[in-house]
Amino acid sequence: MKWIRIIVIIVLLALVAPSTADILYPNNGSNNGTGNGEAVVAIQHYFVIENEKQYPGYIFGLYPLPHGGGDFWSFEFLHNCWNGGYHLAAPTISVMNRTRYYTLAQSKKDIRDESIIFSNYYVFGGEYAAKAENRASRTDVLTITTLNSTHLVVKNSRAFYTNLDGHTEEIPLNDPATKTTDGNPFTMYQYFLLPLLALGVIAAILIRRYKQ
Amino acid sequence: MIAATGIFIPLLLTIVIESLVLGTLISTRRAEVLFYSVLINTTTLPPATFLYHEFLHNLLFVEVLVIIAETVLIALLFRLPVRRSIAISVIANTVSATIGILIAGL
Repeated sequence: MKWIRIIVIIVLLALVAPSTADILYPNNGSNNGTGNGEAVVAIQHYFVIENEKQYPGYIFGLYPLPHGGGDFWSFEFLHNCWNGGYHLAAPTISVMNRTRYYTLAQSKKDIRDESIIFSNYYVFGGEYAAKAENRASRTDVLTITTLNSTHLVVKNSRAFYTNLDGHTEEIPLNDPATKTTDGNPFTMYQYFLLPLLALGVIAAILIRRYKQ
Repeated sequence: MIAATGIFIPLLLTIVIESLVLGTLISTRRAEVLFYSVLINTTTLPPATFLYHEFLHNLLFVEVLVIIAETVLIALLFRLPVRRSIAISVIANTVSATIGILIAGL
């Protein structure tokens, strides 16, 4: 009982502790990281746009959320911080003609409203990421305008990207049914099947030991 | 979602680090330590990574959960008293988490 009480107290203390991102990045710096984009290449979102001119590491991807029947868009912003710096990104996001402004680095906690969820979190491996989920329908018009005025418009499951020169091109969106959230088919295998396999081996060892 | 680009390298690194710690603190065959370390870390690290990235975003809390889970596994597999298992789990995870943070370039 004593140990259980101690464990419960430790768990509760850890639960109320500040988030890791808050500890690691207590200040909202506006420094530009070097951003080489390497961290994002492997992610293979439905598409990745890299604004190389003003914000070399500012990349965003967009893909349909797998849950909710694929009826929602989700998009996320990635900021490399390999040298310890990270970007302040303040994209303007317009959903169904309702324009909302977010400064990602200031949203330490999840910001939730009727249409958008933002969450900032730190990712082991050196990349700082801010994720936003748009709860609007996929048939809604979604516009993401970055600080350097490039913008992406998604409408009726078609995406159009306008670059710094004003040139607009359609970007193909892949069928969500053929991909996992991050384009990595091994995700669920890594997260759950491996541990289950290991647990099975542990159980077998313990059962065998118990029988002896 | 973002960090799912591969947990194999962190898993391998954690296994190596925690095997060294367990090998130092537990007097048993090295092969046994390595085998159990593989099983323990394969059980705890992937769900912990998933939990951290997708839900909690609180490294300290996730580490506490990992320490609790590994305490149970260490006590069962190495047949050690709970108190000693807790100490070993705390040390092993503190070392691996610290090295992980340092490698991540924080």
